[in-house]
Amino acid sequence: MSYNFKTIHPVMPAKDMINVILSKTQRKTPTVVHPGYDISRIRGFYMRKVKFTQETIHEKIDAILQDFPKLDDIHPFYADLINVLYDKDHYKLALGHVHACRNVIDNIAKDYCRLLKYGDSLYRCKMLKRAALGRMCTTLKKLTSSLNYLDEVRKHLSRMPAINPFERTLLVTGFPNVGKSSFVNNITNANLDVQPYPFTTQNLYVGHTDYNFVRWQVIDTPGVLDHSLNERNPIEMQAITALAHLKACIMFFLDISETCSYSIDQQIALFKDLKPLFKNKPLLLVMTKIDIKKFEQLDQIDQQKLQEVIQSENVFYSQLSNKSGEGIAIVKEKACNLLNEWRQNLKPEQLTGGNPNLLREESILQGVYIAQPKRVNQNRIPMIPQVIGKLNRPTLKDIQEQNGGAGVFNFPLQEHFLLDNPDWKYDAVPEIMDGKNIGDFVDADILQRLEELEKEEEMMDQAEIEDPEEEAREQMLLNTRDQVNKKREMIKDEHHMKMKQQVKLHQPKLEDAKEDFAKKGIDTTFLEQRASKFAAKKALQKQKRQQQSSDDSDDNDMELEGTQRKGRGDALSRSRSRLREISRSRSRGNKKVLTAQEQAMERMSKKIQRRRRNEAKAGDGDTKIDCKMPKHLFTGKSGIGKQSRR
Amino acid sequence: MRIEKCYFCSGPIYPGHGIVFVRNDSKMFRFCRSKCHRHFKAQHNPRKTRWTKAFRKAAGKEMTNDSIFEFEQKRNEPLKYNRDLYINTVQAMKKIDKIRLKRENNFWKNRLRAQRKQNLDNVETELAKNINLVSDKSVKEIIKQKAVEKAQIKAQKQKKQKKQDMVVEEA
Repeated sequence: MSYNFKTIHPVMPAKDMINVILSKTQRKTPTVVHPGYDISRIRGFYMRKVKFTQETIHEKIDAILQDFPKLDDIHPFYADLINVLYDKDHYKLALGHVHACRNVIDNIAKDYCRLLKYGDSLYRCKMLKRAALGRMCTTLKKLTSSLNYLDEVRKHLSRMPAINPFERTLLVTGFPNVGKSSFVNNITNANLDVQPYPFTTQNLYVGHTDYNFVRWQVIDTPGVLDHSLNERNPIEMQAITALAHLKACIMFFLDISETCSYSIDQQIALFKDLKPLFKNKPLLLVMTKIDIKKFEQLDQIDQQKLQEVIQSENVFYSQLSNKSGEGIAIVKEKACNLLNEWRQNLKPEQLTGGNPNLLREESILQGVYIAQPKRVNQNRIPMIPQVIGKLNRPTLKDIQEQNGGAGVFNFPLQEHFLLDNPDWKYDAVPEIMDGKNIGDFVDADILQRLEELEKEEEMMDQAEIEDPEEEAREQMLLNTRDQVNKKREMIKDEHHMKMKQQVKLHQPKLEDAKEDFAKKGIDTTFLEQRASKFAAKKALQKQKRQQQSSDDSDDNDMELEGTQRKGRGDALSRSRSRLREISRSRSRGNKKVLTAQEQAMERMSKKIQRRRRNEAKAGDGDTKIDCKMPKHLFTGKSGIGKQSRR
Repeated sequence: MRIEKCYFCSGPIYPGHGIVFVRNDSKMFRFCRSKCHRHFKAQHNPRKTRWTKAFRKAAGKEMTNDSIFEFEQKRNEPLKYNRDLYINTVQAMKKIDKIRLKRENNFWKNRLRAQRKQNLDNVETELAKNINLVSDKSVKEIIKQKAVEKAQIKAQKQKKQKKQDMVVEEA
């Protein structure tokens, strides 16, 4: 059973509970009903509402009753503690009231459901349901004070420290201001309020420590005064409860210096008073505040008194000072050992309260023995070889700093190379030569192999000597061949030139045709006359042309003519040259009357010589679209593209 | 730094050039330029691509088996640096290179011997046709001699042929 009261759900005040329940009924049940419905349907409708409300209230009250601890079922320590804090009777009454209310509401619902069975109209059924819900809410309203009280209890309970009654515990008691909270602060991680006025601690507080690898609870109690049980206030009662019920080692703190404003006598009196509570429990008498006054510094009388108490009660005693820390560890050890011894004598059922998990834990812990190694040399100093003190050479770090620092200095790795000859350390090793990797050729016996190779080469040379004569002959033949080819080319060129110059068309001559005509009986005298005329003309013209060409001595023209004639048909070249002849003669002042044909030709020649005006006309650079509708751009489906746009 | 060999054309890859392709089976393919890389990606066989060294070697156009190739081998275990050894190696490399070139030239010459012979014959016949243009006397003599030889061979052949024909006729 977990002694953690933090899981109790908050208790709603009665008003809020009523609101919640009624709104829930409204939401979760059907809302629409008409007078025209079937009467059974109407009855069912309202009965459902009444029953639903009853069930909801029942659930809520059940939850409350389950959450709160039953004083009879929990550990007597807690039962007593709750009694001390909240008054057992009041607590029980409150819970009883709530429980009774639940029964009442059940009965109300039952009654009204019975009545609803005989409701004959919608109005009647509705009024019955209204009455039922109203009565239920009134009963709930009467729970107000109880519910408020229970909520307060819950709040306080949730803030209580989780004290496990079965765990190993140290219980610290004594007069107020003795040094209990300081001691708990020293031992545990707790941060308790320590103040010079009494009753600073008003509740039980728990801290945890470790001893022997096991967790221990240390419970700090509020100070106890010396008077009878009836006169004790609730704060002291908490301490008394703890003392009474918890199976712990009790540490009774006694302030020797009497700075708690109580004398040693009073403290001893209290000690004797509380004796019955200490029965059957390990007890440790702790004398505190020894930094102010030591036991030896006490008066003889006080010392004797204390000695008496110790002897008579047969208790263990110890001293400590919270301020200086003297004796705290010893006290803790003693207390823990005392409790451990005492627990060994108890039965496991008593220790664990029947919890099987705890039983198992206990059995394991009791059987555990922790072995410690025998430490001979407690103080272990670091081992630094003596050589290091004697080295005087500069460290690499010093060198680095000298040469520019961390980013600048590059330690030459070659310094530690192990080569046959240490002079070679800083050599720049070549890797590539003539397009080859030197590393591929490096071999231990390369010289030997090279020798063999050279021998081989010699032998091969001797074996295979090609005829140098043959080679020379070959070369000569090739040379002559080249020369011959050149000559042939030249001859060809010359011949071509000659041929071009000596172009002669086969013109039909009159002499040849004369015989034919004579045979046929055609008169050829007119033709002969005409022919002779033309022949004379031609001869003259030829003379002139030759004269002109010799006068001009235009070598370029001749060449041009030649090259042009090479490409073109002879008729065209003839006509061109004729044109040139005419224009030249005219430019020299030889203005003859031209025939129509000649005039046309002259006009054309001039036209050709004029430059063509190409501005605004399409030139070579202007794009020429061969195909206006290439198939690959105009086929295919249209997709989302063109047709979707209008 | 190392000069690698191109996987496709077997040419040298200098540092800072080319592409390395590492296949999933961790085989590395080095390429000297994108031409070789493209051919590789197109799955062309270097042994069938005429301009590569692989083709030339496979087709017997280059020298393959020779003791001189044992000098240049990729060595996996480096030797400890020895200055004398390196000096010797560098000097040896130069000599080896010379010998290698000589041997390669020899190889090519041998390969092309028949072709050269044919070439010469063609040249001789050409010159014989244009003997009137030849100015060098010694050459003229050579050609004439050749012509005479040829004629002799032809005559012999014809004789043989006649004999055979006669034999056939008789039979």
